[in-house]
Amino acid sequence: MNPELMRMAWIEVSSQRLWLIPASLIGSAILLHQSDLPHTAISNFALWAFVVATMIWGAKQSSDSVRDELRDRTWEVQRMCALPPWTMTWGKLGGAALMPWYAGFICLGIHLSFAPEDNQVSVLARVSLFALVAILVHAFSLTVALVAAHLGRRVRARLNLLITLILLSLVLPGVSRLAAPQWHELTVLGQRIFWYGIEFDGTAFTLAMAAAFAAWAVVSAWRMMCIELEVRTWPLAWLCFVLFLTWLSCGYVYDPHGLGLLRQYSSAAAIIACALAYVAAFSSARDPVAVGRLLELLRRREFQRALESLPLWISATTVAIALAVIAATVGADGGSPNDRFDNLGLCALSYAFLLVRDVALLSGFSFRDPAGRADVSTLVWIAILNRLLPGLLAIGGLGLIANLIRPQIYDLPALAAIITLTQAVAATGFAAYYYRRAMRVQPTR
Amino acid sequence: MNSAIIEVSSLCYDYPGRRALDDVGFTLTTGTITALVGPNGAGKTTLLRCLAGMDRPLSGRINICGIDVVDEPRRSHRVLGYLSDFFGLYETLTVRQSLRYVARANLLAVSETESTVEHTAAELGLADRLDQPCSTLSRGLRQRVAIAQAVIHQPRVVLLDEPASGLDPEARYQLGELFLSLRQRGMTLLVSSHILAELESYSSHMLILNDGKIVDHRALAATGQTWRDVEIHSAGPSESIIAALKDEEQVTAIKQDAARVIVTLADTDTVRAQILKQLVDAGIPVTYFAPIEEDIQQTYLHSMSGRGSES
Repeated sequence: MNPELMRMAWIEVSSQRLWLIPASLIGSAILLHQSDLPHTAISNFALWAFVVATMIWGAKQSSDSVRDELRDRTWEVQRMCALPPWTMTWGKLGGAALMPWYAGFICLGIHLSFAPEDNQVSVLARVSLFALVAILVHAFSLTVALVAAHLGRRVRARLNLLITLILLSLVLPGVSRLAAPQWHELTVLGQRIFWYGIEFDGTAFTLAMAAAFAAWAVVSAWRMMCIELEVRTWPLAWLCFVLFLTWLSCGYVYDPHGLGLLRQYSSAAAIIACALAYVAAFSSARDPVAVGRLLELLRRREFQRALESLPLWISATTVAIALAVIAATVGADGGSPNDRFDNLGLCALSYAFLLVRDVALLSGFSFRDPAGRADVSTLVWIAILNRLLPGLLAIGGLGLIANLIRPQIYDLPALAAIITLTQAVAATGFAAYYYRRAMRVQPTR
Repeated sequence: MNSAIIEVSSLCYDYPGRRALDDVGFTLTTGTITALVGPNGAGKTTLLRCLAGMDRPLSGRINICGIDVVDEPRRSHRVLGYLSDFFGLYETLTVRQSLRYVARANLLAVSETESTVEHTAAELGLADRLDQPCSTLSRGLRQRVAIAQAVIHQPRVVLLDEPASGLDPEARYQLGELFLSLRQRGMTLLVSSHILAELESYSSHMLILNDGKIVDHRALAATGQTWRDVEIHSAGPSESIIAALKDEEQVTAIKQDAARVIVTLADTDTVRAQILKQLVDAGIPVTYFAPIEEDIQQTYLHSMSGRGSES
């Protein structure tokens, strides 16, 4: 038996919980049944109880499986043991959510007992979907808790991620113009769906996607566990996830005879990599010492170890730049608008350079004051550079200068690439200055 | 001759704006108990964390039992036990459950787990506490449980960061006895502590760290010591002793303290005999000539004042 699962079971499972949970759930169902509510209402109640038990309670438990270790100072015992990261990951995922799953299965039993008999396939599909989403949520919570452990901050990691996603979508130039695939189709059960020109049963497709994303969430938890347990791995998981999202999203806008698959793939991969790199940069530690260690490995020509020691924010940015260069090399289709995510061409370079600029600003602020709020400072500066300053300059009749700060990516892609490259170089200089200052050894006594 | 079990070379570790470990290098041999001492902020905890593979150094090599810790920290954990300065226990678990978990997490076979738990508990004086929740244990017993967790997989090297902090004198004494018994079992210990007097009772070697650098590394047993102070009294003026020894190659330092003279010599009987003969031959009426027995505290203070010597 997985030792971590065994330990979590010792902590979580108690005889009181074992009888109290079914007693309260089944008792509630009997009460509802006695009050002449229709079976559908009882069935829905059970489904909502399942959501609360598995997704809310279970997510909290998964997160606590790391947070409690940090609070009780036992995390180092776990880091010192010899369990492989995968064993530790699934031990925590399974063990922390033992009681939520116990409650969840009872809820599903009640749901199935009261579900309308003529729609059993749909009910089973819904139940399976909810179970897969619960696994996804647990794994994501564990990942966030591990990220927080890595950052040494508990609450801010989650808030950062949320604020980052909201603000970046508001302030990044032109992102809202990019046509997104119809993601809502992912949750349409019982309908038909076209993907890569093939007609799929919507239910099966949705379940497959939910399973795929749940698997990716587990992979992300495992990857973070590798970092925490000092197990070095190549930064391939990130690249694979970018390619998976590209492959998935391109299926919705499949157009082999128009834009061409290579163009669609390269363009989509570049923009997805850029967007994910922002998430990586804001949710990982920008540690000047880690950069110093990386430079030292490169100086000693230990390239394999350097690759294994690459901080996520650097590898994610590098992947985005590489994919943007490929997209720019393939080029945009002149006959189609270039503000679509599958036809960016040279515009992809501007997005990559903007990413470099923003990541450099973020690292510069982090190097300047490791204990400060580099993320907030960066977001403010992104807002100033992308919205406030160009807006004020335009109002003042200085549109030309405004265009130098916020270039017209779609109208003049080549000029925009040059301007954004200049901004990226300047921001990198800012980061390099503060890196050198942070790493300058001060006399201790 | 014992073989090297920990080999550290050119180890550097940086915090932003501060070098915590600066070109640290040393070798520890099998079956020793080394006291790691130094002032606050000297880099003791950082060094122990690097040795345990918990923190990655900027550069340098750490080899423990033939395993490169920087390259394979996870693999090194099979031969390493580490007790952090601020350790925690699983409060709701019993001692037995805690030990069973750590044993299994260190990949001990299921069939061996129970006997190993019983054996380790007996060795650490926890046999009668096995079914007690950790939350009910005293500070000294909690320390024992934490050490039991660190050694249950029979590591060859045990790293302990301030293990005696917060313990009463009796518990500290018992801890020292425990370390000696771990040494008897073939383990090599590196123990950091501020309480020098307590280290003396069980340490065979001392490693002094200051400002991230090794200041001194020496054996604490008399035979292993490199230098020794010798106190000399004379019926005549003490200046004559200084004049007779000032050009002597074997003497590394001379101090005059009121009527006595303290000279630092290589710590061998031959050298002492040679110096005494030289003084007598020079016609100095020597009335007292004896090596000063230095305790760990004096050794530490001397080393910190810049007179340390590399072993």
